[in-house]
Amino acid sequence: MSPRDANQPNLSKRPDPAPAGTPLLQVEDLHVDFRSNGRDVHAVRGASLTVHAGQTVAIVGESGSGKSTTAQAVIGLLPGTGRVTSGKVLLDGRDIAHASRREFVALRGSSIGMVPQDPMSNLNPVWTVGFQVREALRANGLDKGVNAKARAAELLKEAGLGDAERRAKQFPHEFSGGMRQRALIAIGLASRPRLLIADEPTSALDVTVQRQILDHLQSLTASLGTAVLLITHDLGLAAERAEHLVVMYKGQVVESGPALEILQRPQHPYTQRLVAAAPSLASRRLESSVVRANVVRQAEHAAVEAHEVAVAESLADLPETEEATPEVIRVENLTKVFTIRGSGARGEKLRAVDDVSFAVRRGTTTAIVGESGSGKSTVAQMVLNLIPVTEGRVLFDGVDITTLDKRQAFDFRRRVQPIFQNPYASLDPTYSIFRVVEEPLRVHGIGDSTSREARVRDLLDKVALPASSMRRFPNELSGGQRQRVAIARALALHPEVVVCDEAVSALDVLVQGQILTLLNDLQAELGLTYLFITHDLAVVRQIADDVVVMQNGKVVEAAPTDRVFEAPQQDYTRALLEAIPGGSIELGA
Amino acid sequence: MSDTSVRPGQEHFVAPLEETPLRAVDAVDDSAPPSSQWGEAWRQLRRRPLFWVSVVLILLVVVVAAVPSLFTSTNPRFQTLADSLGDPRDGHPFGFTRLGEDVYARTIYGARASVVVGLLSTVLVTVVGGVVGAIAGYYGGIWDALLSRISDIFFAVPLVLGAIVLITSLQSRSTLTVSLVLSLFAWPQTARIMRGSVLQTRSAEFVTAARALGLSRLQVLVRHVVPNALGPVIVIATISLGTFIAAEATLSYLGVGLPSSIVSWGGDISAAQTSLRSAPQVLFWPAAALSVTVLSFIMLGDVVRDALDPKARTR
Repeated sequence: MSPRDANQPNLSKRPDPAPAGTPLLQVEDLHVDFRSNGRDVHAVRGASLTVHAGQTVAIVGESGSGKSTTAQAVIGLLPGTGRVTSGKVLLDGRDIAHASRREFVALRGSSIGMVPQDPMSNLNPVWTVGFQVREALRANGLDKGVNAKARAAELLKEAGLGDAERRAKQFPHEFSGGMRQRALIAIGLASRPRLLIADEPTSALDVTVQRQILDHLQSLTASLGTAVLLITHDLGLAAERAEHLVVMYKGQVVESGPALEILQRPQHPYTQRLVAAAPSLASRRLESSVVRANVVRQAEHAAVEAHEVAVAESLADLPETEEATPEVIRVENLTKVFTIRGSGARGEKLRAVDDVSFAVRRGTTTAIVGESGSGKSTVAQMVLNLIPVTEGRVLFDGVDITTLDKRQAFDFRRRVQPIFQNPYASLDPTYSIFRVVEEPLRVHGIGDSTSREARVRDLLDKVALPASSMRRFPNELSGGQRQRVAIARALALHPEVVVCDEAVSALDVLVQGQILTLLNDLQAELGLTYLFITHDLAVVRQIADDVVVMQNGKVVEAAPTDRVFEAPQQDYTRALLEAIPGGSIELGA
Repeated sequence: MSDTSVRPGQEHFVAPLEETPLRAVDAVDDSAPPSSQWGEAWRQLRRRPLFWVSVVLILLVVVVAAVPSLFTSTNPRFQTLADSLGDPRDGHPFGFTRLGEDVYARTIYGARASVVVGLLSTVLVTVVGGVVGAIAGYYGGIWDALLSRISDIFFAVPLVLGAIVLITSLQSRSTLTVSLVLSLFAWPQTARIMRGSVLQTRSAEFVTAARALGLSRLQVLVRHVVPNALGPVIVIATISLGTFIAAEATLSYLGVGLPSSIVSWGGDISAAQTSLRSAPQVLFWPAAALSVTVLSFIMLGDVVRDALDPKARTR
């Protein structure tokens, strides 16, 4: 192979090698083991895949499927105790599965590039971005003195960074997430590798940014003739970006083939499950076993009763309430200003939420959609009465919750409960599952120990967890199971409204589908109202009746879900919709 | 390249189902017995030989401190000038001090002062530092500013120097006063660690969830934040127990620690210094006892840290 000219960005398309030629990368029957607590854990068991020059191939799978491990074995960066126990990794026909450290150092960068997952932690904060690009050139012997600076700026520009020369002198903290990912792409492609491994390159980014970056990566690698091995959990994204799909499950390749064919005619039961659950490909609101129209009517009926009871009991001393409305929550001109940096009048002010108004109908699901920094979670926190409101009102059943006294606020807690995003942080690790679910009952002095235990069993049963898990601790459960525990805890007090703050965002797609179904069934069964905070429009379509789209603290659009999806009124909403990966792909019958 | 052409090696492949049996989505694994975080830490500890070595040594020291008469019937204060710096002999395996006291008996009896000072100081420091750190970290704002500045003032004074200055002005010295003085200058370290640990825990989602349940701020602090922030404090308490014993010995050696009426390793080391050349064994035994005790606690702290925070484990 002739050395590529590094100073000349080769943007002309290289001729495709003959179809009959040796594939660029061939992984054959790869086995990778990790050693953990004295036992061998088989992370990859007999994986095989082929990547041809200039081609994009995607490995799809849930967490723990071995997709990242496979890629790490290819580039010789297996973490910790990982090692290749058998099988071949052929790069241009040469086996590198057991290559030495020195051989891998020579390969990395020049033959195989890598774009890592997390743009926040993969740039060194003490060096300028330009320095880090030059470092990639230097490591591959392409650093040509004075030219290097210009070359680095050129690479950054190529990766889609405007004003690249100035940007190259900046530090990573001055970059947004999308810009950092572009810098990482520039580094990955700096030495013109023939294979670029992109491990979840955009999963930490907002959907619109994700789309821009992937579009750019696609056109850039196409013009450079670089093959891309894309690792992703998102089937829609994989199908949209890759010609060839490799589906992995529990360390094995269960199905592989042309992307469209797999999507339209999945053969393996796991792939079928995955296709069925992929939220980006689903197009309808989940239907529960109970007819939804009925549910809403029942819920309203029950609400009127509950309202009367509530007024008679604990809320008797509240200010005069209006008649029970079908609207359980009404947010009026809600504003939240945070003081950042410094305090008092001199501090910088940030309007996180700016004059937001919307209403939530009883027994339905309202989704607040927005990208990071849109203020959607801040709205949720104010509806939960967890942070004070700067201006405006939050009416719960006609009562302004921002003016509640201590006793009333305590009673309010029984009626509105949250479910949070991170299943690994939302349960106290020192509490057993029983104590987690029992705590709300204990705090509110409900029942004695026997009746509380019965209630906990009942709640766990509702969220489809065996009663035997009561004595377990959160660290023993998977993310989805923990989220079910969090749902059980939220339901313990018979709340009317459940605020789900990105409640399914951290979960694998199948588990996500399962939790959404569960939430939907529970809504039907208990007449719950959901306020669903999410960045994922695909999820919105599955669960929400109404949508509130937020951007930079303001409401951009608020309408019933179907109308938002079929006839979006605002450009921003349209951009969000278009950014759903795989949204445009037609599924077979 | 057209969409329909399939490159070699990329034909549609489907794995036989029996090779990868499909499991129910997210089924609960019932095979392993339930275990808490602390149970997990205990399982880690149980496997470490270093843990058992330090536990056995510490237990031995504690038993010696509690009932020294089990190990010797000789009075450590009984002086026979005829035996001054005498060699070991039957019934007196370690020989005699310059004043003709039995070295073995004094080493045995000296354990009590060390262990009591170590335990007392550790308890005081952990309680005071823990409470101050928890309040500063959890409530923040003015509380944090005030408490952190106060602890900074004490932090600026070196432990032993501060103790010497304060202790020399005291009228009476006992294990209690020595412990109090040591604690006075040592609590800020624990407070800092507790504060950092609480700050980290405070922002966890389960804390927000607890507040959303209707728990008051204090209830959240006591029930959720403190139990989760305790790990690093336990580690530092175990390690500092050893350093308190060493600090007490230092003070006694300098003659400002425990009065000579209380048998202590530090005092004995100080007294033995004068006869280091002629009779080194007089110095050796209390010094060895001191080193082994301090080392045991530090080793224990090390393995406990590994068990509580697997990330800090050295490979």
